[in-house]
Amino acid sequence: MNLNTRLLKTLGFSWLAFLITGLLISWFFAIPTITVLIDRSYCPPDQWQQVSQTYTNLYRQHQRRQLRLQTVILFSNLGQDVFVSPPMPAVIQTLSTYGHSDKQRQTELQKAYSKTQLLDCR
Amino acid sequence: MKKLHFKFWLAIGLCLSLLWACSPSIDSFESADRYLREQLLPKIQVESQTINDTETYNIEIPPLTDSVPDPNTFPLYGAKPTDDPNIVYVEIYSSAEKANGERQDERWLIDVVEQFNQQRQTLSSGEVIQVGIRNIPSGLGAQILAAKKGEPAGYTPANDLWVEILKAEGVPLQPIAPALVSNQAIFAIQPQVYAALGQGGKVTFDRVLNTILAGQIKVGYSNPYIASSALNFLYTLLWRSAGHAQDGKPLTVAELESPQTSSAFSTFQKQIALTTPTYLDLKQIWLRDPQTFQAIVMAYQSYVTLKKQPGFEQLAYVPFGVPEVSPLVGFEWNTASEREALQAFAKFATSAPMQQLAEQQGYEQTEYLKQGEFPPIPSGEVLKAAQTFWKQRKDGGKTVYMELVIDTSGSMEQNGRLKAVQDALRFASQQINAGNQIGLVTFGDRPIRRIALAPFNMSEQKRLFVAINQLQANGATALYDGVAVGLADLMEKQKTDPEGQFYLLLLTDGERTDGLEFEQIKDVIQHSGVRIYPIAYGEVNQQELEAIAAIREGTVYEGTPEKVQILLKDLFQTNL
Repeated sequence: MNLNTRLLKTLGFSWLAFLITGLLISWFFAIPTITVLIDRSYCPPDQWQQVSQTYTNLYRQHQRRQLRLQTVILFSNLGQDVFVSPPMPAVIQTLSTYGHSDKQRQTELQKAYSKTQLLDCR
Repeated sequence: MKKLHFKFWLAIGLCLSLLWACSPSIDSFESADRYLREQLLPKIQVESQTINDTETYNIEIPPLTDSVPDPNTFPLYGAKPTDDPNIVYVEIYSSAEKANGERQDERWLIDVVEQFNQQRQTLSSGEVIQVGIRNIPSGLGAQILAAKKGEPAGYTPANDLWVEILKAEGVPLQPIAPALVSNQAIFAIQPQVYAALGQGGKVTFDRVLNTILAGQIKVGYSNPYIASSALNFLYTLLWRSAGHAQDGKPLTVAELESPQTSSAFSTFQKQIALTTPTYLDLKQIWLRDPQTFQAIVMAYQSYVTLKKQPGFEQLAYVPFGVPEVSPLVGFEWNTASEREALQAFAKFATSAPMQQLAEQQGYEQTEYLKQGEFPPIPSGEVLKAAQTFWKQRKDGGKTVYMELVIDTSGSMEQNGRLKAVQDALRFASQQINAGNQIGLVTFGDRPIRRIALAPFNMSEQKRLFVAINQLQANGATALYDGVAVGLADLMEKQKTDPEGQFYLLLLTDGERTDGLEFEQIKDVIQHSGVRIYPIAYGEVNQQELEAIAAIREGTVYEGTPEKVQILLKDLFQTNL
């Protein structure tokens, strides 16, 4: 009986310790989550390739689970598009850019989403 | 006996299967092209009379006078001009959507003028006022006035943008009434598209525009040199692209050249499913096949009547741009009596009973009009620059290929039909953008290749002039032989440039009397990737031309020797 109680306690504490360790690891080494804001206002093609390359790097990190791209938002002064799952880099690479940059919209988006990374060609 | 029966039917079955297997099925571009080259073209005797370089070099292109139409070729309603000294007669050029006597839902101003004339109102001098309304599309009205080809007493386009263009052209105006009736430009949108847009919140013009620019909606658009709603949209798009929705300032000519503005326009143009001279053409195509477009640019009042058609009951709309309220202006050449007569007519048209009549015909005071948040009215110089901007960039980097397939059968000699077409082609050639390709095939007893498809430039324009000069009317009407040759040339080009836009303009004054029949070429047209614009230029088989147009979302245009010049100019301006 005594032996059983001990065994159960040992097992219980072990599991608890395992759980706490797991939680601590996930808390200390959590994958950072970001929202990517892409300013799609007019950008000369060569400069847009740099924007596209930066996005490709982020996307690869997302694939390797080093980073989580929660949402990707394209915006200009003519509107915004929200991608709930990150688009493939080829989509961003071939994107048309048009219109002007919209600082007001950018600020609103940065306020609305907690951690954002802005990609633009300026 | 039973065995014999079985063998007999087996043999029949095998023969039928063989027949079915051997008969060519046309279900793709490749099979259409193969069928055209292997089955149809060998049956046709094609002549070639291409123009050599010496002839091209030697011809001088004469100075081409303007191709502005004669206002007297447009229908006049209400009173007619008179010499009666007791009557003061005033003629008003009116936009088509409110002065079309042929349609019950587009004749508000005609109803108004008929009631007004019956009243026989008098001026202070005692003269009786009588008003005539001439139905001329807003853009054409402005062109006629700017070219001084007509001197009416009044002009009531659909919106103020045309008034600004006239001011820029130096036409001396006198404001009479800022608005005769309530209307607005809109995007008419398929209900399922509207519902999808609505999932993200309120469906606004911004949201629609953004979805179009994102490549998710294909739209039908019309020529901003003619159609008011098209000019209104063009201005609104450019104004917003330049960032003025935020600061409220008007668009400037310099901003049209900025990459920010032109990039938005180029992106929009990629989403155009079809451009026609007026939105009424788009409406006809949409009525025939509601799946052709997801949205079209048109006037609200016309949308109200479109919603009454079966299959369009759930059609939605989103307003935009400056109000389309039909201002009425007079001119400095008017006498004091004419000015007073116009004011009396404007007062009558804006009276409560006439406004109620307008409401019954779809002219409603919508929330958008009540809110009054519109883009500022730009200068005429900006609008003219915007029209030129559209013309120069509308093809969005794609090459447009157009084969002109022209009837030169004997009947084209009657009533100066061929001569009118020759003149019209010369004038219309000024509207072709450099780099686009144009070919010319004529048909009488047999088709004749005259101009091969080639990038348009000064030399090609000269070649076209030589070919036009050589046209002579004779022979029968091998209509579909001509179409087959034109299609073959266009399909050949399509193999090397699949991104191009391909059109065949078919002008005929009669029924097919020789050569291939419609049924033989129908499937080829369907899979050719070529849009055909038939022009009915006389006693044609209207039903068959309608069928040709319907195969590839086209519409039949009516041509007469008096109007063919402006028709070809519009089609070339819109497509080339």
